[in-house]
Amino acid sequence: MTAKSQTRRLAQGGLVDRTRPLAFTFNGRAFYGCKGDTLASALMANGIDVVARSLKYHRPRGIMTDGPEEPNAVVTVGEGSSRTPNLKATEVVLHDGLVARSQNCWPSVNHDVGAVAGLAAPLLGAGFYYKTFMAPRGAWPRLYERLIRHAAGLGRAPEGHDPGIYEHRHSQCDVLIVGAGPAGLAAARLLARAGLRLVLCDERSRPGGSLTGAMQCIDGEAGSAWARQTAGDIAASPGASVLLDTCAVWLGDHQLVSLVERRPGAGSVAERLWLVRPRQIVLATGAIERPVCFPGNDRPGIMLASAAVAYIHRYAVAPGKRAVIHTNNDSGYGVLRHLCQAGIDVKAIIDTRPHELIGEAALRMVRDVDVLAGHRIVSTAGRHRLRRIDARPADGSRRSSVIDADLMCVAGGWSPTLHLLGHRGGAMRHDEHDAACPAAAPGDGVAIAGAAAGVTGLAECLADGARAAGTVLQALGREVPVLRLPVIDAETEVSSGNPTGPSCRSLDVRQQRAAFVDLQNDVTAQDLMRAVDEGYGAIEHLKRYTTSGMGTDQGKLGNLMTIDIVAEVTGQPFEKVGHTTFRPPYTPVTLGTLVGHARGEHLFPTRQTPFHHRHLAEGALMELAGSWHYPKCYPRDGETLDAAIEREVRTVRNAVGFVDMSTLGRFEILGPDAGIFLERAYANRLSTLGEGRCRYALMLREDGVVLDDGTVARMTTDCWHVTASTAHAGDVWRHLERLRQVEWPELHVRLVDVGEQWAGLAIAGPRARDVLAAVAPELDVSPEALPFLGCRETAFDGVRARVFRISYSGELGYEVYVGARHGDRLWDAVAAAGTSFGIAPYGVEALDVMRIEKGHCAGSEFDGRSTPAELGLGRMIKRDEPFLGRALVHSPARQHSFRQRLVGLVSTDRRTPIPRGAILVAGTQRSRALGHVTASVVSPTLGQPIALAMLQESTSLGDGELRAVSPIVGLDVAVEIASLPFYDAEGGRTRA
Amino acid sequence: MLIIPCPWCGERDESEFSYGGPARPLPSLDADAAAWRRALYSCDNPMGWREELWFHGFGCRQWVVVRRHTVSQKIVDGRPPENPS
Ligand SMILES: [Zn+2]
Repeated sequence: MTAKSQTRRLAQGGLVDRTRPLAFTFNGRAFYGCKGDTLASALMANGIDVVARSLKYHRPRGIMTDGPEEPNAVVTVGEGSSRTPNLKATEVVLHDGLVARSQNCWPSVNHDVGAVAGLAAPLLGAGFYYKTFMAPRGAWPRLYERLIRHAAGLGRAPEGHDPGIYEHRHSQCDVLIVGAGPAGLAAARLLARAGLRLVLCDERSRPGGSLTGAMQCIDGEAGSAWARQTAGDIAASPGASVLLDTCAVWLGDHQLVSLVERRPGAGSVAERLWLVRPRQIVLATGAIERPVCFPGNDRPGIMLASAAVAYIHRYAVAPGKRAVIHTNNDSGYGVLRHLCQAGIDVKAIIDTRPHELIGEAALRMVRDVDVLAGHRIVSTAGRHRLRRIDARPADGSRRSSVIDADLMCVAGGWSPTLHLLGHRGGAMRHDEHDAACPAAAPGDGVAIAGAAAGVTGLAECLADGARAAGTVLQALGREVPVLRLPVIDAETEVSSGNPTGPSCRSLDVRQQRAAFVDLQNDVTAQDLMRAVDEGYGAIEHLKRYTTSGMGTDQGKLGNLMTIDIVAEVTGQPFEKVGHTTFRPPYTPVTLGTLVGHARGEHLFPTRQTPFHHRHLAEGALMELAGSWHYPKCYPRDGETLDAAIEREVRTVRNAVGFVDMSTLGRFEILGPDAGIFLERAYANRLSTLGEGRCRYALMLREDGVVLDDGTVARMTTDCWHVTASTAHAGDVWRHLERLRQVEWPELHVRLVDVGEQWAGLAIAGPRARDVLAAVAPELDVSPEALPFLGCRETAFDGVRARVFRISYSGELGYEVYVGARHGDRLWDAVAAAGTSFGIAPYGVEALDVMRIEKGHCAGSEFDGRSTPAELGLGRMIKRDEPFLGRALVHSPARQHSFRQRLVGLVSTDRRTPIPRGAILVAGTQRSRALGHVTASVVSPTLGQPIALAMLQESTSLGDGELRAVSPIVGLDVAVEIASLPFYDAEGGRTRA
Repeated sequence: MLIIPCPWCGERDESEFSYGGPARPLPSLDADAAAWRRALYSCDNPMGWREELWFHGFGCRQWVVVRRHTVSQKIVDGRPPENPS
């Protein structure tokens, strides 16, 4: 039964294992293939002609190629969370239980309702996206977007969490050889013999490249067997590895090459991204056969000649019964023998060239077959598969040859696969035979070998691989080992790429309007001509206007035809037209592969403070603040989030609370010039700061915008202790080190990043002094001995501690720091000392509520745009001493009235919360934003919503007109400006 | 991804560094706004070699100066910033 269904499977030959049947489904129907099949070859073996519908006109499409250049056979593989859309059936290795579906068709691939779009073809021509969906503007979201989304059939994303494991690996080696075809293997065996560390990769499951799809003999054995043996020998060499099913997708700067290893149904890792950094690269990427341009060139049954040969020899599948070969060069003639071997009846060879241009060697291969020289195909027929071909002489005579055929092998010459080289900028040009070749020397560290370098013929490719290996060895300063070149069987023929004779230049485009140039995006020659007429003749414009070359195949087949047509229509030489940019990746790569393990909790490295386990023990609700795990609040049994935050705020305002301060950036500035250094680095006066004192300080960028704020404390004459906000700690460190190392190297100053050395708690509230006194018994905590903004070094439980009397909450407050490993003891001591006052830890939410009540700026106000004046901090800026940012902070552009200023807001009804991030507008003038809300809370202390906002001064703003609107959440709240701070304006509580 | 020659650590991956812009002396702190504006906003954008600053944050934490070719992306001559070339 398994064999019976595979009606097109040949009885002999091929590299598939007929004893290992694999079950799969396609569009819900069950089929069998063989081990060694791709999905494409298995479908073909089962006689499936139509595998997809085209994007715009929903025309039936079949399999056209045997590789990543496939424009038609785009399928979705897998189901549910494992579903992967937009795979090329020619690249999907068949495994047991594979589930695949067509895309872009409804209700089924054979009966597609969208095919009526074919009748509307004139409406869908070049630039139709730009023309059709222009007006009215209001129709966009409702109608046009929905229409386009429905019609654009690029598969559906998987649902839910992808269970696959994706892995990244890094590798360094002497040489990376991309492509294990004849040239790649010839290079690799020599390099392995020389003892180099090498990686040889190939996108296919078998080594050999073109050898696996033909019948050539090397060293007395079949080419595919020689390739397997040679690859095995290379893999066994010390320091060498061979990666199959591994496609090189990106050639980056400094020799970084990304490889994607696909491992369908094998082991736990689904796909693997290799980041290889070789010293030398050999590109042996082969060549892709070009199609030929003629009307009706998209019917199922029309395929590249090389693909037809590959299906016969690689997969033992007969791609048809009655064939014609359509060619414009000699390489098409080599196909004949392979088709005959598979029992295919070849009806004719249709050559676009006149008889005298056909090579003698080519003609010698022809037996019992008509050669229609100087002929073009004027039309094809057949609903779901090619049935009939109408060919006529190119001289315009009406003599017509109608041929019944279900297979057409098109051979339009060969284009070297130079996409990887294109990632570096340079790419292709065309030589006098119209053969594409590298535009220039590939640059240091890259050698091109074989068909990728424009070399044709098996013996020549093997020799060229050895030559490239010699170049690489020379560049690495190594001896070239003596190794006999493999000997080719005399019978081995010319079919492996022989782009002689005229290929595309004599197109006569006017006769080819209905020919498809880009099959995936349904772009015809007519579309290109129209685009040129409309002024989009520049190749990069044309690409975007017509979408030619913008499919998932990146126009690997159609791009050259596009250039040909533009050249002919505009009368420019081919070279002048140029080609569009090859962009990475070479073939589509799944997001899972790019992401690798970096998802969920492994998205980026995270940090814990020294108090992490105390937070957890206290029942903290933890969240990620930047890279830090930090408590949001500490809800007690049955307490809601809001209730917990409110309780924590009240505890601080009425008694005493404590909070983890260990995430702040913390630097020691040491040395005799430390004072001068800080004076230049900060915008406010610091050199007058006495020992044992600290000060709030503001740091500007060179352009006068606020970089960060923090406190600067002078512990001793030459030792300063400065802090930076958690979010900016890294930036501030880099900035300060730059000033020290690059700008002011003459200063005697050293910076030490001590952030991770200290564990710090802030104790805040009216009873904070009592708690501190118990925790640090050796310290005189009286207001006279330790006034507001004082700092001391003292002892805590036998270890060194630093105490700063600063307050962020607006209450009497101290920050106490001990060595990081003593953090737990400090926590326990503070908690114990405050028990009788009802002390409680508080989290970032309570901290934020209290800073908004006090009108302190934080990250959302220091947004990289605001100046000191805008934030109400202008009075801090020193006038006399020079400092970084001074020249521009005072410049008119920084003072201008269009700038904003920090204000407090309350809602007019004192009840409605003010939406965070809301836009401020005057009355109903929605089109002009006067500012935005930066922070908003419902204040437990004031019993009403409050907010901080950046507001532009505006004469048009009348009384009672200010509104905070948030269209995203549909809120519109009347607000009033309130003076800052909202709480304890005199600051008496802080200074108590 | 670039390989950057750190004078202290040798050749290291770009992911260990952060970019610091072209290496050019800033005006003195006393200079007027026009001089600062010129220095910050009127930068050369050469097609070819230029000196630039990189901070080796996930390495020696030193600022280094290298010469980079803006077309070929070749990077050479890593040196500490205080030794003018
Ligand atoms: Zn370094």
